[in-house]
Amino acid sequence: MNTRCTAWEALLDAYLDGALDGSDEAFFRSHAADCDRCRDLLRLVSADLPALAVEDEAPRLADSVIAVTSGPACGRAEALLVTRPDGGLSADEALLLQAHLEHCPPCSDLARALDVALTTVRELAEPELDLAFTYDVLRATSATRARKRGGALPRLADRLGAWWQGQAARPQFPWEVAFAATVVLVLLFGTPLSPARRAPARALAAVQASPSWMIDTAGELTGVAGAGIGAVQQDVTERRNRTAPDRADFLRHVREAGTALLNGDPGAAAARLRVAGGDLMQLWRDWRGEEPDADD
Amino acid sequence: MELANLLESCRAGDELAWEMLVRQTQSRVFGIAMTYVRDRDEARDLSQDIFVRIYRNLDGCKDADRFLPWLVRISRNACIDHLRRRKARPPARDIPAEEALRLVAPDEAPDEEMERQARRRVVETALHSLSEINREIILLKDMQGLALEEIARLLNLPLGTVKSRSSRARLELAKAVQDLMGPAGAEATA
Repeated sequence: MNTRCTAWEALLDAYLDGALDGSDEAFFRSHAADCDRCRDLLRLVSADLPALAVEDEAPRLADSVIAVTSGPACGRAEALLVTRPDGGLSADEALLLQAHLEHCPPCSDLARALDVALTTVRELAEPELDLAFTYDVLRATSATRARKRGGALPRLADRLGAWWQGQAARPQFPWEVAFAATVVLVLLFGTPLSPARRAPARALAAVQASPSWMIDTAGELTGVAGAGIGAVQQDVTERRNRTAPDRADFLRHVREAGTALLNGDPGAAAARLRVAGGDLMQLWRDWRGEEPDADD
Repeated sequence: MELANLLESCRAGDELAWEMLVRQTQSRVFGIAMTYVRDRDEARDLSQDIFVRIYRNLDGCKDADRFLPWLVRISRNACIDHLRRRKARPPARDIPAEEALRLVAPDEAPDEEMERQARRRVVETALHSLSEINREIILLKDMQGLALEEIARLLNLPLGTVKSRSSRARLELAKAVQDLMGPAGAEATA
């Protein structure tokens, strides 16, 4: 008998009257479970001890019985657990699973994790999107529509473009281009039968003989080109006039984006910038003088 | 508007019908793209490519009842093509998992929103720790809600294999979530 037994005995009457508070009752029950002497004493004065013993021993007893008979049922529980969200369990299976989960903390944790995972996965299926997304998609598909209506040739061009993009995306593509360029240069200038085999040597000789030759040649070319400069200037002026509204739209949308950014609204700023991107595209089309689609 | 009528109008070239179809399906398509590429901007560009493919191939979907599987099939094929191209030319920088989702829900309280974001990041990371086939089955079954028969057709696998794979994938996902969150985390968010 020690001081814990003495303290336990002091609580005995209160326990029998059901007047113990939480911490005292916890101490009383735990000491009764650990100390043979006090447990015998309690057995003498009350009929509660069997209940206490059963309460503490039952789970351990069940575990030890399962361990020496069927083995743990967690594997079967997991199989039912993953079927349960589809409603594929019978009433009995659901009952058995629920009973297992109540007594098996690892499986119970797993069930919670599965619930979290499936709920969140369904949320991830359809994330929220900003308004500019639809706009971008419609812009991309309207360009497709224009090409689709254009006939077989543009579609062939699309396919060729896609094929070319695929080729260019390959890591060995730059090496292949370099190899092909080398082969072409060698065939043009480097073989005895090539028609331009003397061209580099002649060019070098001409420059060495008269350095002013290059300047004279450049002067002649400028003279020829000078005649067309007027026409070019006129063309540029026309294009500038044609694209003036596009430039104004573009600048306005960029300014709006800046204002939205200053107001702390990056979403709106991004949306306006996208619109500005569209303006740039339109500006380019107008600059090139492409005819607008009848439905746009 | 009935989906069959909507599709018919889209096929006839009605821009408004097409816009409605885009609005109805854009989140789903974006969700699929996000599952494959994990980067919001990349998924956005990829979604546009997917919609262009859908638009070009609208004539291929005659039956409105089969529209969803058809949409998922096109989206999946486009994502796989994109990943192949990306494998040939990898992105200039690694994409951290934490950047994968930056979703906004202004109506929610900050704490709830942060908790939701954290939960989504965990599940997304867990999803990407799965094998490719298990991830696809989770995507097709639990995210997109396709029937097992449809998934079997799409993946060209026997139905029985898809069934067992589906159970295994869910279990693997739950265990990955459990590992990332810990039991206390799962309990707190459940």
